[in-house]
Amino acid sequence: GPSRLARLPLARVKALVKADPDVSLASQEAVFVLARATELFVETIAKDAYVYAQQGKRKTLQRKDLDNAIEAIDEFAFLE
Amino acid sequence: MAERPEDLNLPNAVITRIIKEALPDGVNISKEARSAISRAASVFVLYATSCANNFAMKGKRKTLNASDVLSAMEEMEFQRFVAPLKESLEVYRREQKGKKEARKDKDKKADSEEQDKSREEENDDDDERMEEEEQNEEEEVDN
Repeated sequence: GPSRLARLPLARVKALVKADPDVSLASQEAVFVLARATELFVETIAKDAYVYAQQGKRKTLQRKDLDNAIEAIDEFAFLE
Repeated sequence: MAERPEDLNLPNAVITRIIKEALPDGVNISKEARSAISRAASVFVLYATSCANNFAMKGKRKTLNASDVLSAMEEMEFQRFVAPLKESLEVYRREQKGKKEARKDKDKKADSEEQDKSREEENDDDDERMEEEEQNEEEEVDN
């Protein structure tokens, strides 16, 4: 549910934040919200990709389903 | 300090679990699809960070905060994430507050038990506690 705490380890998310040379400081809360947002993102992209697997009458999500979702959905344009 | 590329991956087990919980029972995911989603998630963090940092800079702040991340979500067209993220943040804040109070109580107890120790040892413990408190306010990102 929405109030579940982030399961992605904050240390790993923080390592990604640190990779940005323009970022100097990030609050612990910011790292938490980023982690939680990333979980929501993973859920979203998995569900969107699954639509293509269903169209192909498959019960296994494949790489091409991801590629199709990324190409078709505006919000995923940053991944191209 | 440069991170090795592999350090910028998110743990496979967690990514897989999140995917499985999002999909109906009996649906599988190929290794390639899982890797692709994991990589996409890392890119998402990097992009969201950059976006959030723009908001911090606009506000003339050096510290990226939670509301910067929420603003980034709107900018990235993930507005539907904002409400659940705000809820999660509220729960997180309550938990952190609880932890802080528990730590204070523990410290009070530890102080009274340590009165027999030498003064030198007590000073070291104070320094340790201070460091911990600072870390809990802000995660310093050394760049």
